Amino acid sequence: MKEFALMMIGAALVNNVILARFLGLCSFMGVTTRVDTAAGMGFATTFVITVSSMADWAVQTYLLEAYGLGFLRTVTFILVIASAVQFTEMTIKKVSPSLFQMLGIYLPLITTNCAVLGVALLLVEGKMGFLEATMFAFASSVGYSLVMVIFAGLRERLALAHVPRLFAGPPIAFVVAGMLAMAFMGFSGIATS
Amino acid sequence: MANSDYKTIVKDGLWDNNGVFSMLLGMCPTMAMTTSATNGFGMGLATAVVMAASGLLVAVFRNRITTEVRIPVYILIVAAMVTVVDLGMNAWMHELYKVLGLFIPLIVSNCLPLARLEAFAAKQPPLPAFLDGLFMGLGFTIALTVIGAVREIIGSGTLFADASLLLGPSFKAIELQVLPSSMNVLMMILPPGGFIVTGLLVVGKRLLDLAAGKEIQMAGAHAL
Amino acid sequence: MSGDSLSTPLAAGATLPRSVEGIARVVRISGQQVWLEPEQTTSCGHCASSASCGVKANEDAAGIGSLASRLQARRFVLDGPSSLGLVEGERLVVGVSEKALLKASITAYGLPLFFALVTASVVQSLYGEDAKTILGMLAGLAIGLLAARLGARRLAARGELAPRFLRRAMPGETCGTT
Repeated sequence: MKEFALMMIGAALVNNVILARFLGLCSFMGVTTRVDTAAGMGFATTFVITVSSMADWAVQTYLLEAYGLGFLRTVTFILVIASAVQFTEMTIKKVSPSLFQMLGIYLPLITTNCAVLGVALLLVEGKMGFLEATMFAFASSVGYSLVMVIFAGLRERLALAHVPRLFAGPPIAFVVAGMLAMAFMGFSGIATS
Repeated sequence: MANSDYKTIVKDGLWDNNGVFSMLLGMCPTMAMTTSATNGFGMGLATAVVMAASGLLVAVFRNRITTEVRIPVYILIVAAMVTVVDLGMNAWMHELYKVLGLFIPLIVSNCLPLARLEAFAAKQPPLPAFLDGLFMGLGFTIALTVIGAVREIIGSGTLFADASLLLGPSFKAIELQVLPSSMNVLMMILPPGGFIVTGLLVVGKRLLDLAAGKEIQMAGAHAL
Repeated sequence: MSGDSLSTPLAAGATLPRSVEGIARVVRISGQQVWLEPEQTTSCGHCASSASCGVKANEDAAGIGSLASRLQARRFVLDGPSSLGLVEGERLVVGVSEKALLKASITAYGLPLFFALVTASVVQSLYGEDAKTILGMLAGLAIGLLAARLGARRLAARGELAPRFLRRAMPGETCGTT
């Protein structure tokens, strides 16, 4: 149990998907301009990453490894993730059309971004069991969402600041993200790996 | 196609429309794989090979790929090329393969190859498409090598360290010790350095463009 | 933004809760109903009004799984604002309260995920077998989706899910600037 907790803290904070592993930077840079949108996006991304990681785990274990098809991993994972995203949208639409509609306006479409694929690949490399893999994916995506929300908050402030024209846009965002990454390095004492 | 068009392709790829510094695409490997100039160089080359090959393939089949399914088809073509590069590097450049690890398969989800296929290769004959992919990829390589070099020099004082190990024995000559190890700023090769150096280098490119009297590229500026 | 509350009259500020804004384009008008298509497209940091990242969605590629088809699936109807004289192609700003967005995303994504993870953990601790854990997880996901259905029905009944027309979008306004 204790190893589980440490593994999850490690995945969420110490080896944060965005700030330490550099996965999912384009959605990180582009989407987060408001805290509430970022939080909503965080829930959506957490769901998609966890579900598609579980699917990828199953495909990897019962199909690719069982039949020695490891070289098809990249292609297969892309297809599995794309299907998982489609599945998510179709299910939400079936569950409640009005809910789907409302989220559709405010939350961007989730595409096969490198955070989703990256977490799935990390799982495969870590050779984890199903529950461990699921929890790892969940913790990673919680860490991702957490940083998205924090960064959205920083940006709401940044929007009011006078940024030099040369720094406007991504450069200042990168510098701010660098400082956030420094802050997150403070977690590295909590758990290793 | 006239010569000047090829010149534009080269210039666009390497500088004007540089994938990293102007378009700000493909940020994940840009920051993750630039802890040293050698890593950046290797990562960039792998991406360039994938881009050139998939550009060629898409251009060859451009009249057969219907608009409805083009995005999935492009992604699958890129994924196939990535698998080829992944296996090839595992076989022939195993040391570099171990360093780049996760980020080789992640070339699939890099926006840059897909953006170029959609914007260029889908409408052009094979040769220009191949060249566009190649030079966009080389521009990406240059950007990654520069970021890697800056981070490596400040962070560990060396330049192209381990080049002979990762790229081959003939690269022994470019391994340099630039700064004494007492002056190292470890922060630069840790994650925060990646963000900060990339941000500052984007500003640097804007400054140079401004000095050359060009309009500075504000790509992605809407994001703030 | 905190500055806004200073510039707007106190009374107006009190009656209007902070809302989340999104941009949508009018695609069809039939009588009282206006069909809208959201402009925000991918999570790749770009939206349709800033065509980049290679995946422009406002083209006519609407095949299976393509962005445009997924965007079409997101079309929605806005009731009422026929008095505004909207025309096809116009871009509007629509809003919901910010609480509603959070509640909706928790209902849609949080609940099912929570049930799936809890049942998976319970089954794993009971049997300790991957295959059974997967079945347990699927069962949990199904329960969670049912719970989401109930939750969504409650939200919809309170009218929290329906977006309201706020104003016409300015020409340079993109989903990045709102």
